[in-house]
Amino acid sequence: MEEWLHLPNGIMESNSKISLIGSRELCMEGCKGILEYTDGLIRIHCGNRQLKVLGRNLSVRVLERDYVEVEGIIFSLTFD
Amino acid sequence: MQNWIGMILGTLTVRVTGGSHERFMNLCAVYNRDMWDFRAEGDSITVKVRASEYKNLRKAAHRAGVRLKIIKRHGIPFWLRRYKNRYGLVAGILVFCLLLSFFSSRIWVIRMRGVEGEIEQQILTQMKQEGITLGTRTSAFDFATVRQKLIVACPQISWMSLNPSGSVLNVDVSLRTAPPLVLDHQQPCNLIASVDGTILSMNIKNGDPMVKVGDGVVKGDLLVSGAVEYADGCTVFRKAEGEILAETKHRVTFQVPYEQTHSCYTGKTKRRYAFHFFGLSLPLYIGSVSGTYEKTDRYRPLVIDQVALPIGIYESKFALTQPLTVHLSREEAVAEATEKTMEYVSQSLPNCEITAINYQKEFTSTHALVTAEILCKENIAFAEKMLIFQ
Repeated sequence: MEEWLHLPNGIMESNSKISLIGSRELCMEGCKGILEYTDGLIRIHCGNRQLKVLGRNLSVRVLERDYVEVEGIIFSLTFD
Repeated sequence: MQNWIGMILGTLTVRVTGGSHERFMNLCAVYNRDMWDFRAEGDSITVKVRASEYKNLRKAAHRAGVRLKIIKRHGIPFWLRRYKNRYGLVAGILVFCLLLSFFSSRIWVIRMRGVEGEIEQQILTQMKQEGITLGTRTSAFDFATVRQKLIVACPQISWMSLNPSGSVLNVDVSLRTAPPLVLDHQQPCNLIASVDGTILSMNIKNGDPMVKVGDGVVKGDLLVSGAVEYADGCTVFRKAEGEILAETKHRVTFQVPYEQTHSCYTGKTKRRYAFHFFGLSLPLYIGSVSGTYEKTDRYRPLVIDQVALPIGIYESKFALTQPLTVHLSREEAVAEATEKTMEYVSQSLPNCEITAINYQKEFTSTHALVTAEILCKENIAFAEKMLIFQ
C-alpha cells in the first residue's frame, strides 16, 4: 500500500517513531505510557516492546496520550 | 510560550509521593491534563500543572494511590492574591495609571524651531488664542486647521507644521523672505521741503531746480521739479532726485520743577517662590509684600537632557522702594533740562548735524522753563509723487 501510494515506509503502520536530538532530547510518538521513571532510567511502553532510556538528570518535559518528550543526558536506548 | 501562559494563568509545582507515580503520570496523560516538566526526586516526582487543573488531578491521584502536595505557586493570579487586601497599593497603581494616562494625553512642552524673539511670542500668543497652551489635550485639536489659521494670522510665516509627539508639540516655522524693494524710477515726482530752513547746498541728480542756495523755504515748498521743460517746448516728466542741505531750526521746551519726587531703593529685597507644576502655580510663601517695590520674575524649569519640563520654580524678586523728595537748585534744573534736550536730539533728530544749541532760561517760583533752539544741517528734500492728468 505504502509503495503503491509512494509514501515513506512504515507510515501506515502503528509503529512508534522516535526522534533523538543529540543526546539531550528524545521525542517519541506512539507511546503507550510510562512504566518506570527515575532520574537515571525511564522505561516507556511502546506497544509490543519497551524502550529503556538510560541517562542522567532525566525528566519528562511533555507527556500526552501518545507522545512523550524526555530531556536530560541520554546514555543509551535499549529495546526489550 | 508555555512559561508566559503559565505566568498569566498561574502555575503550581506539585510533589507526587507514595503509590505509583508512573501510573499517575499515565492517567494524567490519558485524561489530557495540562501538565509538564516531570522531574524525579528520589521516590517522588515533581510536576508543573496549570492552577485551574489542580482539582482535576484528584481522581488520577486516587486511582494511582499517590499524594499530592503543592510546593510552589507561580504566576500573576497568586501575586495578585498576595496583595488582595492591600487597598492602598491597588489604589496607588490605579492612581498611577490614571495620572499616566492624563498627563500623556496633554501638551507639556512646546518646542519651536526656526523662529525666535518677537515672532515666536506672536506665534505663541496666536496659539493661545486658538486654545493651544501648556496642559491642553492633544486630541482636542485638529492641528492641520490650527496650522492654517496661524499662517493666515501671522503674515511673516511662509510655512509651518505642528507635530504632536507624545507630550511635546514640535512647531517648525519657516519665515517669509520679504521681496526686495523695487525702486520705481519711472514714477515722476517732485522734491519738496520737509521742514522750514535756509538752503546751504544743492546736489541735484535729476529734475529742474526751483530754488537756489541761500533761499529760505518753508515746509511744502517745491525744491526740485520733476517736470523738465526743454528748449523746443516739450515737457518730460521725471523722477526728481537730489540732496538739498539746509539750515533748520527746531525748538523744544522743557519744564523742570525744583521739587521732584523719585522712587529710590531702600536696599532691601524680598524673594517669593512658587512651585510651577504642569501649568499650576503653587505659592511657597504666606502673605504678600507690602509697600512699593519693583518686581522682577525669573523662571527656572527642571531641565533633563536639554528638555525643559513643565516643572520648575518661579522666583519673584521684590526690590523695595520708597518715595524720596529731591530739591533742585536752578543750576541743577537747567542741567536736567540740557540732558533732556540731548536725549531729544539723539532720538528725534538722528540724521541731523547739530551746529548749535541756544538755551533760553526762565525761572518761576516752582520750576525752571528751558527752551532749546537747535540749529542743524539736514537734507530737507522729500519726494512727492506728481499727479499728472492727461
